[in-house]
Amino acid sequence: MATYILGACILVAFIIGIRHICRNFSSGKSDCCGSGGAGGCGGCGGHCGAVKK
Amino acid sequence: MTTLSVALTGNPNTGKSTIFNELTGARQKIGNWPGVTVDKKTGYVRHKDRAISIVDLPGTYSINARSPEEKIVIDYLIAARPEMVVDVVDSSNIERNLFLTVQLLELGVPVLIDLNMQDEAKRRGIEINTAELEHAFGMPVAETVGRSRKSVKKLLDVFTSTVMTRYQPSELVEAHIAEVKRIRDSGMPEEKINEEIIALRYALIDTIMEKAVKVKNVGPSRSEKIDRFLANGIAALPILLLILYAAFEITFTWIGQPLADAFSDFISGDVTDWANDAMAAADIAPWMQSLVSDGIINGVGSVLSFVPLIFTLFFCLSFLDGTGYMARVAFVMDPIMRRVGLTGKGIMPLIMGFGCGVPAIMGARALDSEKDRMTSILITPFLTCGAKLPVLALFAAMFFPDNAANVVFSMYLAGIAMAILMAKVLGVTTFKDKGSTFLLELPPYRMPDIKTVLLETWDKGKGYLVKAGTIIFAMSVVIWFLSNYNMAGPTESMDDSFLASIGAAMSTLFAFQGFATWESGAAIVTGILAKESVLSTMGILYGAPDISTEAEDAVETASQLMGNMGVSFTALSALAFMVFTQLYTPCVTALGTIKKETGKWKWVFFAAGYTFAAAWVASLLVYQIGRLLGFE
Repeated sequence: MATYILGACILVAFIIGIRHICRNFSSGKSDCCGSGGAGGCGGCGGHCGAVKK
Repeated sequence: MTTLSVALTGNPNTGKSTIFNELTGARQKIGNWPGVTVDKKTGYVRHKDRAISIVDLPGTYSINARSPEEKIVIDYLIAARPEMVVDVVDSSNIERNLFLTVQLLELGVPVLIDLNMQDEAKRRGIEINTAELEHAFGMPVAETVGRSRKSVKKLLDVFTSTVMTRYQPSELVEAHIAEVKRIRDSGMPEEKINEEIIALRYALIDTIMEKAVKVKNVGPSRSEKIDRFLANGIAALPILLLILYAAFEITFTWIGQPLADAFSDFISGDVTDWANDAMAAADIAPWMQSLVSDGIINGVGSVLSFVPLIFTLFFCLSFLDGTGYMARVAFVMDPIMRRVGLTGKGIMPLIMGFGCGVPAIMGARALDSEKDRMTSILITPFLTCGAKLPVLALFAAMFFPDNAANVVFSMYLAGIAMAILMAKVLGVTTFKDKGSTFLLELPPYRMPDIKTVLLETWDKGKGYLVKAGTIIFAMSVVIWFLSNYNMAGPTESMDDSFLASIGAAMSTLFAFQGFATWESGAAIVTGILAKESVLSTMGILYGAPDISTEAEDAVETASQLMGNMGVSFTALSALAFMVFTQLYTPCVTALGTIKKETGKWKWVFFAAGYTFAAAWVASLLVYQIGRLLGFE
């Protein structure tokens, strides 16, 4: 049973990881953008969304 | 009550993004050079029960709709008609900054003049009579010191208390606008019209300067004195290399490495032991235990071990940026960049490339000519992004334990050299347009705002944590599966696995480079998805999560890995592998960005192919010349 639970968790994380790769490629977005606006990327203007406070 | 719409405009490098970040709590990149904001950003804030939307527009010297930035500004101001256009003025360069102010008034938008960098102006002996300035323009004037949070926050009070409709341009400005209109309607040739209008604007600025601004002669500023050494003269380039080398010493010897060692010990010790014990206690199936321990912890752990190293390097670069030195790098590099057909401005996106290729490729938008932009996009992948750093650090520590920092530094230089060489080649063969002129304003040297430096460091470094938890995690699972299974099911030996077959096919390309093993081939393939995958793949295939790069631990680390890895590499072939990893095909995200920025698949395939070819040739030369010189 524990094997199945752990396997399910890994499967979910795996799917999230694959989706992340696909999204990064299709949107030209990099993880370096961080969470707030353009984050650490000067050139990330085009794809980092609005920031609300 | 409706939302108050505010737009921040101004010349480049006047502190708009600092004000925007402070007002909205955003973390927009702040750079001490123009072109950091290449698109508009919107933030929202609530103050005194009033909702305010604030748009940070790109910095421009004028609004003639010539450059992309100018077009963004003028399009936004005309289409969105914000209730308040805040013109952020660098008070220490007020005369030049007022040119944009005058243009904004000609456009008929409600302008609030924000005199920023007041502290800098006072140091330069510039005294501004704000009441007189307000009277001369007929528009409200606020004062801020960008680095003082308190003074910036006061702007919110100004926004909510100022009723822009109560202000009208002064008679002086009205007369100017009428004269501009008369000249525009005069039927003269357009060039002549532009000349006359520009002269008229400067005449108005001169009049207002006489009324509202006094300048005392205080001699050369502190920054000008420092620049005699750091930005000019024969010492400038050696000092630049020395400063960058110091950043490497801090990263690899003094601070980053001890932190990385402690983190590595934690992952390979406590975390691994705990996970193994927990899985054994829960009676997890052996294959699942292998997936978690040999696959995920080895793969993700090998990347996570280097996060402190990356954070340290980013801190150093963010700190240098905060001092204003990075803008000088453009000047120092300008003569070299000109030799390859670019300008010093082209170095700026490339500097971003030392963090991550994606913003560097996007930052190339700020370049003036198509030739500069395309060349910059295509040479960026040669630079050492943060993802390549752990791979280089591991190999340097394993095979060159006494000179790890020097070897990694030389890889950075190799990347720069290849970028310069390819810029020259592309300039001769593919992009033959004339280059553009280079105009750059140097900001004064400042003590960096430590909060901003830490925020930037965190934002850049955080990306690696996100990557480790998503892309590297997924890759580790795939690599574990491919290295433990074949068509017949589970395999006893990795040599019979799917991955061995894929890696073996790729490795045939490297017979003359000294690393024609299936493990190297597999690492190179996975590295195209994310460069850190080279490391995580090595970690899984060689079963060595406990990776330390400290010089004194290198022998121990090497002996741990050498049992498996030493069979695959000699010092010379390791060096050739490092050169290849440094230069070959960028990751898929960077390729996606090239597609987005160029709009054509042909440039994606070109970038992927020519970088691979350049890396192949460079690693071949390193290995073969090394052998001729008697190295092993």
